[in-house]
Amino acid sequence: MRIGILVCCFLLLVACSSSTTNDVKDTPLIVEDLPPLAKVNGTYIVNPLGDQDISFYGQRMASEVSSNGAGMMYPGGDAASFFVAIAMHAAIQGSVTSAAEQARIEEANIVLEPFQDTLDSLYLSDLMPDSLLSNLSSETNNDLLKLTEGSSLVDGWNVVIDPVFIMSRSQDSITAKVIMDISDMRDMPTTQIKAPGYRRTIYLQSLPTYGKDEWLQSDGEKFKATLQSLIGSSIDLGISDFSGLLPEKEPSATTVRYLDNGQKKVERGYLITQNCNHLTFESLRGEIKSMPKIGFKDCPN
Amino acid sequence: MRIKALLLLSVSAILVGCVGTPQSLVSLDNQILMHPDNRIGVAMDALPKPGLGLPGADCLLCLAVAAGANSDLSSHAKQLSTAEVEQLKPEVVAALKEQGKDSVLIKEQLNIIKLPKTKKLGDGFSKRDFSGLAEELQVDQLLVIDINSIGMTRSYASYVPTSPPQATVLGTVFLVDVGTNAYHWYMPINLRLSAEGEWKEPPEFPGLTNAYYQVIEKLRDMVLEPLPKSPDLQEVAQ
Repeated sequence: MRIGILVCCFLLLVACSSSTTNDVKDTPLIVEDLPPLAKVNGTYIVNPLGDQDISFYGQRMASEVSSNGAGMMYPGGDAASFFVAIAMHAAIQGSVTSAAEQARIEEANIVLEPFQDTLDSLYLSDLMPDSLLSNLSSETNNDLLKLTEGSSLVDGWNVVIDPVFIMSRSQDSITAKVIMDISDMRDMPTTQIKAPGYRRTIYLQSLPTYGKDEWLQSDGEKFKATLQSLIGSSIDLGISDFSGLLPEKEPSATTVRYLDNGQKKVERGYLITQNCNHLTFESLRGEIKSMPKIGFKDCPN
Repeated sequence: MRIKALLLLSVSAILVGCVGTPQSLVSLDNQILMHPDNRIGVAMDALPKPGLGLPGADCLLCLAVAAGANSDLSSHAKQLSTAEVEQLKPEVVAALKEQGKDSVLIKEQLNIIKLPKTKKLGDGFSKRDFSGLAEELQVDQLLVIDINSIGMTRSYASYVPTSPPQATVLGTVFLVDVGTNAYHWYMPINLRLSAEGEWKEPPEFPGLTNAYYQVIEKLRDMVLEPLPKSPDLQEVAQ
């Protein structure tokens, strides 16, 4: 009986080992070398913004320069109490920090209360009408198209934008933070295996308005127009950067001073260009920022 | 027993004696600054090189552990520029000249610690004697920017960091009468700023680098803003 079982097991194992394995061979990917697309005077297809709510936040308080050092002192009587104190501090600090973070966001969003009705009636798609892109096309000499549903793929650059808006604490200006991706349309079927060609975060701040009530006059006309203008200018700035139409940035970083929330703000960056109203620079984190100049009020209209 | 008590008493007396009272803040005296008979020199003490300070990491091993844990930040801090602090001297001279006040830019860095000590002049007077510089520099008043520490600091409790790193500038700015050593402006500088957002971004640490230059800008504002503007000048003239 035992011998019978042993023989059966042996046969089974032999059969298993002799079975042929089906080797899965990778099918070589045939990547066709396509001629490069023109970046200047090229075709840029801007993806439409969907019927989604607009992401809008209140500007949060920046940390301020303090005149004393803050540090936590732990009891150091013995090693055990020292490490227990650190562990307790870390646990308490974790919960306190997340609660404080949430409180800061809520506090910052108070500035949005007067705009809530206008924001509720707006969708992202309202911020990018066809006219906005056709105006941009004529300004930049690029063929900017709006991708419509069911449109076929064409030879051009695919532009995807993800905008977020920030209202300043003093409600005097709006900043658009736009993450822009640009890739070759012809790569789209294989986008899973290709890294996005270009990705930049663009910050663009409107010039301050000194009458806060202006935003909501005439059914929020100025408010909507500002958001549209920020989107349009962000697209223009991103495509100009991608296509090399922006001036070369300065070789070394300098201290850039601009207006933010009605006050001077200082940041280190590489100056790209400036006009009477705005200065455009690349931040140390690689973002492109276009911010109001401190003396913009003296500019001719 | 008596000897012990006497010894303790004398040690405590010595310790109390060593703790000098800090110089209190003196507001800028614009009348002295803008007086036509006063020749003003604008100078800077030897500027330390920027670096990373690790206060609280007191024992040798703690310091070695803390230095090792922050080596990236330490090498980055050493590369930070102090050009904008040095630029403050000509900016002060330009601001004074703009108001019609002739002032002299002292190119050489002062070495205040090497100046002789004054003898118990008390609050409102310098502990170092500037009178020796009067003839050499041909000035009546010296506006001195004295930076003692610049760069980053991260506080520790022995081996454990107790706070994120901060950009730091420590020092004093003062206007001293080189004849009497009296202060006509004394402003302690103790500026610290954390990074906006994330700070752990080696090797360039953009958040902390921004904080460093923001602190220098704050120093610049603190030095330049109290200087007289046109309306003040009119008041002085009246």
